[in-house]
Amino acid sequence: MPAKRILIVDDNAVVRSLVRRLFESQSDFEISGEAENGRDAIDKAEKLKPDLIILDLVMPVMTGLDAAPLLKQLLPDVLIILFTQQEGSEVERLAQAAGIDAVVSKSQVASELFLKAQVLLASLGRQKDRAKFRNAS
Amino acid sequence: MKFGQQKRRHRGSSIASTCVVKLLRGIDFEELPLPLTIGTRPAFAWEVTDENTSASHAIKYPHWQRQFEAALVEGDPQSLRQRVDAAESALFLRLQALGESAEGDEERQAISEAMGTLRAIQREKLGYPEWNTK
Repeated sequence: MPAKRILIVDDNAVVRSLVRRLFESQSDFEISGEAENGRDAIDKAEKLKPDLIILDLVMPVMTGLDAAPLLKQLLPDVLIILFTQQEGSEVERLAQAAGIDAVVSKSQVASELFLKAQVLLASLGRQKDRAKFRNAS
Repeated sequence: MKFGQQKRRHRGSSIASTCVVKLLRGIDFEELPLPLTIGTRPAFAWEVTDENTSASHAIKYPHWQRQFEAALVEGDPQSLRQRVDAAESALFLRLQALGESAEGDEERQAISEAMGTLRAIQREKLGYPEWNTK
């Protein structure tokens, strides 16, 4: 199975480095690129066509919540995880409305992000298999 | 509390902390916008330690407090973004190092408040867009 391509979007270089190292340590993922804000993420996503986007919320130029619907419009199958310091039901509600697939808090250990990515990608794989089966029958 | 005692308390040996330390190996901190240690004297939260030493005070949260306070007092708009980034990095790395250990609850709360302050600086001084206006 080909490695899943990830786009990391965060205005903070240290956060991007940590997330990059987290996923690069696993053979089933590859980092296709990094972006520093929502607008940059849209440009990079169009070129790189990632399977998964790790998206920060608070960024200059364009927030993660503003970028997410545009990213989904551009790449309907892409999975988006909002990786943010902000917590609470308000963030969850707005994230869901923006088409974001999951929210992971930066106050959790970074391995939670990795586990969430695995679960989401596995679930997407199962959905695609079911769709193939339905189309074939 | 003596300085040494405080230092030992911060040396958590949880599995999560070990994982983060492994992940951080290889990051070239020289390439970051500013070094994570900035020699700015903290403005508050000094904690009395040992009256006989010349450095008679220690900051309460040595992993991030200097960086945070440097961002608070930065007057140069050109440097502010770098200071805020450095503070945010230090806070994030500290959260990761704390992992899920129960003993870090007080510090986690302090980090959360510091993050809130950085958000306000980003919004009001650096022009970051609001995220919760919908």
